[in-house]
Amino acid sequence: MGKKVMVVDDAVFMRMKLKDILEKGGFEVVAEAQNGIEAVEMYKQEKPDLITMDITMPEMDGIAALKEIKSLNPSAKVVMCSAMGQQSMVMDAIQAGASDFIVKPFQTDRVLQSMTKVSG
Amino acid sequence: MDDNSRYKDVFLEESDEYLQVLNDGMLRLENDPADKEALGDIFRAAHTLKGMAATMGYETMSNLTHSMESALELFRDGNAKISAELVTSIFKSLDRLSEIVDKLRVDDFSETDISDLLLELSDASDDFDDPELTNTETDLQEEETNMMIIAEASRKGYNAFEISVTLEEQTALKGARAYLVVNRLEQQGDIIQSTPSPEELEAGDFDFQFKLLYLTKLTEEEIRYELEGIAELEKVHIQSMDSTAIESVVEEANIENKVKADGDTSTKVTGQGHGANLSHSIRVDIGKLDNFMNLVSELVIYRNQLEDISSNLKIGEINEPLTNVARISTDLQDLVLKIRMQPVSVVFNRFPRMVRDLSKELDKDIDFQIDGEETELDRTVVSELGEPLIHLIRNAADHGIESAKDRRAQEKPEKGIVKLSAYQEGNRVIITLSDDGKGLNPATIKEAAIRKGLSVEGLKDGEIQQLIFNPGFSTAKEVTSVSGRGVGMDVVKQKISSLGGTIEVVSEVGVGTTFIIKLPLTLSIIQSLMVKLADEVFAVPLGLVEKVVKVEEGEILESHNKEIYMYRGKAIPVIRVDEKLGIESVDGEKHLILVHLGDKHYGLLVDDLLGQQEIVIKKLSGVLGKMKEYLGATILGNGDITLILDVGNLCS
Repeated sequence: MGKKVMVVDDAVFMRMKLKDILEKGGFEVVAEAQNGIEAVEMYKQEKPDLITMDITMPEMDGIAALKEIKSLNPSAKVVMCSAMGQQSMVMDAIQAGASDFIVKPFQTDRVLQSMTKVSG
Repeated sequence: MDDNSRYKDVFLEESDEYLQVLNDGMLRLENDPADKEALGDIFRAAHTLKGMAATMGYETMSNLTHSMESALELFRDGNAKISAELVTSIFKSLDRLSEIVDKLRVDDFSETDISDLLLELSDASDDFDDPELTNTETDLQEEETNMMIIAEASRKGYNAFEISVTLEEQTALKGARAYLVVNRLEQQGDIIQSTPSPEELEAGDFDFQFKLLYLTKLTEEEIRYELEGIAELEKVHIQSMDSTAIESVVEEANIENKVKADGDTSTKVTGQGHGANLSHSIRVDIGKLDNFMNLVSELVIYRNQLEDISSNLKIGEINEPLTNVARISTDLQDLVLKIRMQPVSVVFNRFPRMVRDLSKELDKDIDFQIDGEETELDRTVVSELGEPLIHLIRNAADHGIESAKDRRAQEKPEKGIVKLSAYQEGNRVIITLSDDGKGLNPATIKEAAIRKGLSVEGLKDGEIQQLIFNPGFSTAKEVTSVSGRGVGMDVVKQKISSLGGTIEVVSEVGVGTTFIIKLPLTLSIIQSLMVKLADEVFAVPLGLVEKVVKVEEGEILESHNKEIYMYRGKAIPVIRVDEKLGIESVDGEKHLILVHLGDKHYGLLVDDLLGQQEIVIKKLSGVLGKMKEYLGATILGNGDITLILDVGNLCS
């Protein structure tokens, strides 16, 4: 089986869409979280190889969650999911150790390219 | 350039500082063209200013600074003699730069025309007519600096690479993508240069390609591997820099540059290089300081309330902690007052340049001396002090100092002296401005005063001289561009009294004139006399109070339709505060507060005295702020609000 991925997004639709793309690309989606707090909890349980992390979420946003996860495991690989116009937040995330970012609306080949590169 | 906007305040403030350094340096250089230290200061300041302006994207400013630098460079390198024209052109350029900075301050981004100055500067140095040439010159310089950094780094085992990255055509958020690349590389090395600039790179302001100059211990393969892990990079081209070519450049390099280069390597991309080596101080927004001050004042108020309560309730245990709170809040208060203090040099600094210009304009040789510029005053006072002082200095240069011809005729040295000094005396700061000019002639003033319908009867010479502070008074026979438009000394006096200070003049015909300004150290906390009018309590600043006497109605005499009180054989005008404020006062025994304003006494008539107290002045705002009877308000220990009387305004 492929690399284990955790998908973090507050929108069910987005999680479905991403899961779809990732599973077609040979990744295994082992966990889904709908906010940062859940993401951090699930990360501890599932220890996924890769994480896709939405930036804007209720409770704890993606950047805060990224920082928490990075402090748990500095080599955790987190790909941020951003919308256009969130450039500065993406930069903050990169600063905080994000491995890459993908931009909504998601395009299958781009998502997979990024995930493959990051996991490789 | 939005990302830069948050640096703007710092940029403006630092620009002011560097312009000041440049002005000072040029003055020193003008006096002594061999002053290498001054020249060094000038170059450093000009260079920093240029870099700052370029970073902010203010091209006009950086261009002008650059031309100035180039003109001076020829002089430094010994290719040109420093000429009066060059100095004048540079001063003009500095003025223009100040104008640009002032415009930026009010968010006016309109283009300032500097072509005339560029031409002048190039004429003065008789070279670089071709702007193209200067551009390549800087490019070359930059390249040279880079080379030196590279060489220095290679000595420490770093490799230099030129990395050119092409992004895929559909890349979204190019800026973030480029940032990802930069960030990844910087974890294992330093990027010393990027094309386009880091700012443009982050803003995504480029086509699909960017170039980086990268210093690292990684090999080419390792870099390639790092970058392979990043998505959406279409092409990465890595080229190692030839190290033999580098070495040859180093031969010519001097140590100073290397040191500079060393410091630059890590900061260049992040653009935070400026101010990295400033002293152990930080800049604080004055608003925050005011806020701090307010909070401390409130603390003091509540402390007073607590003390009241504790003494009423006679709770023993609370006394000790309360004493400690009292001590700490007093220390805190002292501290915040100290933090707000600024040396007067902040305003004094710009005067040498001004006097230089004045002396050129008026064709008078003037020696301007400054003394005690390290004396400190509350920031608010310092910032308000500039305007009145400028006025006085202009007057001294224009009306005070005589023309060289007149001075020779009087056997005075041809060079006139204008001296500005400051010193602290108790809780006041005294600033004096003196000149050795012709002095104020009482006869002329008397004549002018009569012409203006002022009563001069029975006034002594010294008193007549004080008349210059009267509104609309100007003795200048002809109005020059420098001074003498009839608005003047009264405005100066008003300003000084609004700062809680006084001004007086001492002058002797043919010998000179001295203005003495006395200012309170701080405007925020004052000792005051609490007085009562009917049921209302008011505060009178104690600094002005000379004496308080009990009076009976009968002791107040009437003369020339004015009420007066005889004090030590002198008639003192009596001001009925109740009438001025529209309060119905109670009958009975009154108190007359004798206040000293400048050289005059006034008596303020109030009902009762409550005692002396330290109060914190809170400025009134809005409609209340326009009421000139009051300086402000204060909150008393029991929570009551009390207005502070503006004695200067009540008496005038």
